[in-house]
Amino acid sequence: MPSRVRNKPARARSVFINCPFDAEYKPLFRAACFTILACGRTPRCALDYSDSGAVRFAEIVKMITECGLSIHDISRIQLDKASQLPRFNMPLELGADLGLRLEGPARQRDRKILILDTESHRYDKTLSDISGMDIEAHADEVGKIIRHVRDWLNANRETDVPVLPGAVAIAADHDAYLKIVPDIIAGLRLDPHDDLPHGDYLHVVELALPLIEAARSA
Amino acid sequence: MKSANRHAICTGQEDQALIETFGVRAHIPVMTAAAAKRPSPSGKPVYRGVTLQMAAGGRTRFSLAQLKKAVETAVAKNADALSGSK
Repeated sequence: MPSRVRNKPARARSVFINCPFDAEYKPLFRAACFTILACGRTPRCALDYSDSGAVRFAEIVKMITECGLSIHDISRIQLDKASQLPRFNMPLELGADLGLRLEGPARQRDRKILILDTESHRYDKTLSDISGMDIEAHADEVGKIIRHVRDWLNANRETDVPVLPGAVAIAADHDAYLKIVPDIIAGLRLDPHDDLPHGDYLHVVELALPLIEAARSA
Repeated sequence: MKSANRHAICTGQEDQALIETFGVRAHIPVMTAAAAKRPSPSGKPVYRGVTLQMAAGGRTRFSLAQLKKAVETAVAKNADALSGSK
């Protein structure tokens, strides 16, 4: 099994993603990764360590400290279908991140954090301690995820970085990417119902972005 | 006209509003199609004027060569559809 070892990306360009890793949320998660890559940043998440996302908390916290930016999606408040119990992993990781920003080492005080939920102000009932923070609602829509992530990255880009591509352009290129996915899957001799493993997905997007732009402007 | 369209795509409406409000157009590079395709001085790929970072890695199933071939073939196969999706 190929497994490439790369140098860790620069902290200022690394974006930690804390979100559900289930099939239902996958289109939103992948759209967020697509946008982060299109904006010249590197997405990091528990899937970097494990295909299931099951990672020790200490490793999660270490990864958060290695990323200058974080995205936390707290939309999954429904009970788990199998266990009929709620899952607290995402609020826990958000809490760890906020703790670092508020009382962590000096270099962690400049952390940039984007919190996402499905509905506006639902967090007033589920997580009222974060009231007053910047929280964006995505309505479980890919287009809104792309816009929120792009706009937030653009607002928090370094001073020497030009304005990032617009959300409309990224969304259009994401649509174009989805058109070619079946042929990529076939080219890799996967079954049609299979999906790319997370690590391969990131590399495919990086490879595809310049080619899609060139093809669309041809 | 094409260049103007590309500029609008690269910046987004809200940035365009800022440009018009504060007159900072001169500070924002306009990417031509040729420039967008050109690799950065570091050799990293460029997309819409943004130098792409290589993914952190993690677990992979395929080699970069396999992925590159699959992507290039898929883009070429869908070239007509992609060029019509502006």
